[in-house]
Amino acid sequence: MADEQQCIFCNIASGKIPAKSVYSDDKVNAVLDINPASDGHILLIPKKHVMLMAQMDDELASHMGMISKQLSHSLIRSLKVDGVSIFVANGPAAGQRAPHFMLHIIPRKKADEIALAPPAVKVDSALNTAAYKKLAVSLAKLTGKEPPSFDDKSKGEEKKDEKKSEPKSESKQDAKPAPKQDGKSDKGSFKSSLDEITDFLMGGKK
Amino acid sequence: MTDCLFCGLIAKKANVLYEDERVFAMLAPEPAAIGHIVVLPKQHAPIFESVPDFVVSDLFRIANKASISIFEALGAQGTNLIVQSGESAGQRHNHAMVHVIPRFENDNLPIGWNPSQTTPDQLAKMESAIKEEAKSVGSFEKEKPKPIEQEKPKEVPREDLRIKQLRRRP
Repeated sequence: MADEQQCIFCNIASGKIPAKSVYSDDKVNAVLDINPASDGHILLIPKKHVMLMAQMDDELASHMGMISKQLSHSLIRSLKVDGVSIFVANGPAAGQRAPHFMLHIIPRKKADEIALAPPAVKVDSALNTAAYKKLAVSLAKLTGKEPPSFDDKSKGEEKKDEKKSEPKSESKQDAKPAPKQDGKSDKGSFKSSLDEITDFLMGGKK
Repeated sequence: MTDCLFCGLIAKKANVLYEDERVFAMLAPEPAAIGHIVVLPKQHAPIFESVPDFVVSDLFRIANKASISIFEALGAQGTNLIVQSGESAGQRHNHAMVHVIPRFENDNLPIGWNPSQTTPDQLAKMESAIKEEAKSVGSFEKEKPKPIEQEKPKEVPREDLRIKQLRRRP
């Protein structure tokens, strides 16, 4: 595909653009970041052109996880660091800059000024509970499991049936950028903010 | 382990979102955002590197689904996955976990770093040091198959060892 030929990270992953590779197999290439957060910062790049982790199948997601664990171990042993951060940014709002997915494996030292600890934020507990129910239903659908039983079970069941009757979601909808019309998407039924983000990443490249 | 906060939460099924034999996903007890999920191995492991490969495989499979559900159910504009190994990486609990954090434009979460400049010499030095240790990367430990109870014969008729000895051919 034209996309993949133009994608810098596809070319780095395949070795067409030379990079300092520390591990490679048929699915991934692990290269050193030329603008590292710290010395030894590894980018684990899938050879398949995916923009977001969501576009990976289970096998690739699992593979990326296992390789990142082992590479993290290699960093601890070779660089004698006392910590490692594994980091993924899905979408520009999360800090993603390239239109090709990658996983960062970053050697850490005390007081190194790298901010990769989830900050503790005071969240509204009612909103968090509402989010919990939506997530439980969605995750159950994705994994083919029964959602956990909620305290007010009937409400949870209702939501599953008719998702439209959620007054709170309207303000959020307004804040979203309008989906681009030019970006063709063949996964019409997969309706979520994921499509918009994919469009955005594509648009950024053109 | 009873003195591990997260082993306790897993046992209580606190805010459970997903559970199977090896993996547990829950709403984070100390969230960075509404809908922040943590995915943990059920078997206690102090750091990510001590979690067996086949469990890490499940952790990432479920973390990816957790991330998708954050997009779909919460309409998030992004997600961060974070694993912290060691105190210098900010790890605060003695139980390995994968954080999956919903992100929105201008949520101002302080997550990131300032990229630095490096030299070709320094990169080459790092490459050779890491490559040497990364030689074993790519071979994964699998779960040991559970012993099949039924096929284990409980009482084997024992032949007298002395007779067996006699039958053996030189």
